[in-house]
Amino acid sequence: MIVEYESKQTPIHRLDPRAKFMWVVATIIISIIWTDPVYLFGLGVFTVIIGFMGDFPWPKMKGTFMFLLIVTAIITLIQGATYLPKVVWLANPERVAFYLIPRWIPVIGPAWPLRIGGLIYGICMALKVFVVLIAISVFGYVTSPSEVVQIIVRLPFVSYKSGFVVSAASKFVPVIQMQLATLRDAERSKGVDFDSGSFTEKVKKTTSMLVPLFANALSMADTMALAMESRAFGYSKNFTLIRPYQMQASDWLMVVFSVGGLVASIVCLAVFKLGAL
Amino acid sequence: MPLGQGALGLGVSYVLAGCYLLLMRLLGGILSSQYPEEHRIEWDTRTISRVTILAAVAGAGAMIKIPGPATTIALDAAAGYFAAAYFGWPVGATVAAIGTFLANALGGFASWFPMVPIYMCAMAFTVTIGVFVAKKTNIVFAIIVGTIVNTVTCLGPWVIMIGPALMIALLPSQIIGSAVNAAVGLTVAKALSSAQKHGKREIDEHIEPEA
Repeated sequence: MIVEYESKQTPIHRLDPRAKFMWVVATIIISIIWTDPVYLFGLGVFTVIIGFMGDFPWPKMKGTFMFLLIVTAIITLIQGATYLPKVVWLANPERVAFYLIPRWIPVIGPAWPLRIGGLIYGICMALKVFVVLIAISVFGYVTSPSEVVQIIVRLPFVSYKSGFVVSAASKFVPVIQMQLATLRDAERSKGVDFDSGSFTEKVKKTTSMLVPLFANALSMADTMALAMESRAFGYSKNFTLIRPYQMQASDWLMVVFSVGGLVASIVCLAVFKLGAL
Repeated sequence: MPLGQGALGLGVSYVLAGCYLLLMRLLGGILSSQYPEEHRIEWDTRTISRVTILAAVAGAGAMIKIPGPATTIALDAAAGYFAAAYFGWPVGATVAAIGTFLANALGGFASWFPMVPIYMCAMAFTVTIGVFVAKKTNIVFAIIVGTIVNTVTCLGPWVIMIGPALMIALLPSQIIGSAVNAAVGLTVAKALSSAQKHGKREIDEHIEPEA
C-alpha cells in the first residue's frame, strides 16, 4: 500500500471492515461504469471527503500524485489522438482541439490531431485512475491488514484456507526479504559484485542467490506444515473467528449508502444515460 | 478500435481472463492425466504451507531488482514457474496468482487495482503453459513460449482498452522481464530437482547392505 494503516479513532476507522469494503468496491465499480468527467469529478470529491473524515495523510500522496499526473497526461494525449468516442452530450466530438505536431513545424506539421471527444475521454480516464487510487489508499489507511484478511475469510464463496494463505504469505514476505539480504551479503563476502557486469552476468549472479533461497523456502514450508498440523489445521471444515464483528447502525448506513449509490448509478446510466459521456 | 477503460473495455478484459483460466484448466487437465505423479495434487497441510511460503517468495521477489537494458526487472513471477515445475501446475498456478496479488499489493497497486485479477489469471495460465511446454519439449522452448504468452496475456487487455500505442513502448521491458522470470524459475527448479536426485543417489551409495 502507498500509505500504511494507522490506528486512529476517526468515524471511518471505527466502521466495520465489511462496510468499508462495500464502500471501496462500490466506488471502484461506479468509477468504471461512469464515463462523464463531471460525474467522476463528483465521485472523486466524495472520496476525498471520506479521506478527510478518516484523517488521511494527504502529503504522503504527493509523490504518487505527481508521478500519476505525468502518466495520466500521456494517456490523455494518446487517447485524444487515437480514440474518438460517441459523446452523448457533445455536439461535435470530432472537432480538433489542437495538433500534437503543430502547424508551424515544416514538412510534417500539422499532424496527430487531438479531437475534443478523445481529449474529454482521456480526462475521464485520468479521473478514473485518481478516484480508484484515492479510494484504495483511504481504504488501506483506515483498515488494518488483519481486518482485510477477516473480510476475505468471511466471503461466502472463499475457503478459509485461501484467507489463511494470503494472510500468512503477506506476513512471511519480510522473513523472505531478510533471508534474501543474508544471502546477498554472503555472496558479496565471496567477492560477488551484483552491480557490475553485463545484463546476462547480473542475471546469473542473482540466480545463484535464488537456488539457496528456494531451498530454504521449501524447508521453511515443511516446518510450517508440521506446526500447522500440530495445531490440527484442516481437521474440520467449520472454523471459528478470533474476533467476531458486529454491524452497528453507522456500518449499516455505510452499506446502504454504498449499495444504494451503486444501484442508483447503474439504473440512471442505463435508463437516463446519466454519467455517460 | 480501443474499447476504453470503462465497463465495456474492462468487461471484455475480464472475459479474456476467464478464457485464460479455461485454457489453463484444459492444459492442466492434460498434464494431470499424462503425468499424474507430478501434476495431481492433494491439497493437504503440506501443500498449503508450500503455496504460502512460495507466494511470499513471489511477493519478496518483486523487490529483487536486476537492472536490465530497457528497464529494471523484478523477479516476481519466478516463484510461480518454480512451483509449477517442481510441485505441479495446480501449486504453480496458485502461487503465481497469489504471488501476483501480493507483488502488486506491496508495490502500491491502487491505481491499477481493477486489472490485478486479470494479471492473476494471466500469470496462472502462463506458468501452466510454461511447464506444459517444458514437459513436452525442453526448457528453452518453455522460456520462449512462456515469454510470448506472458507478454500477450498481460498487455492484451490494455491493447483492447487503450489501443496499441502505449503498449508498443512497454513491449521491450515486458519481453525481457518475462524471459528472465521464466528462465530463472525453470532453471532453479531443474537445479534443485537434479540436486535432490543426486543427493538421494549419494545416500543410497553410502548405505551399506545389511549382512
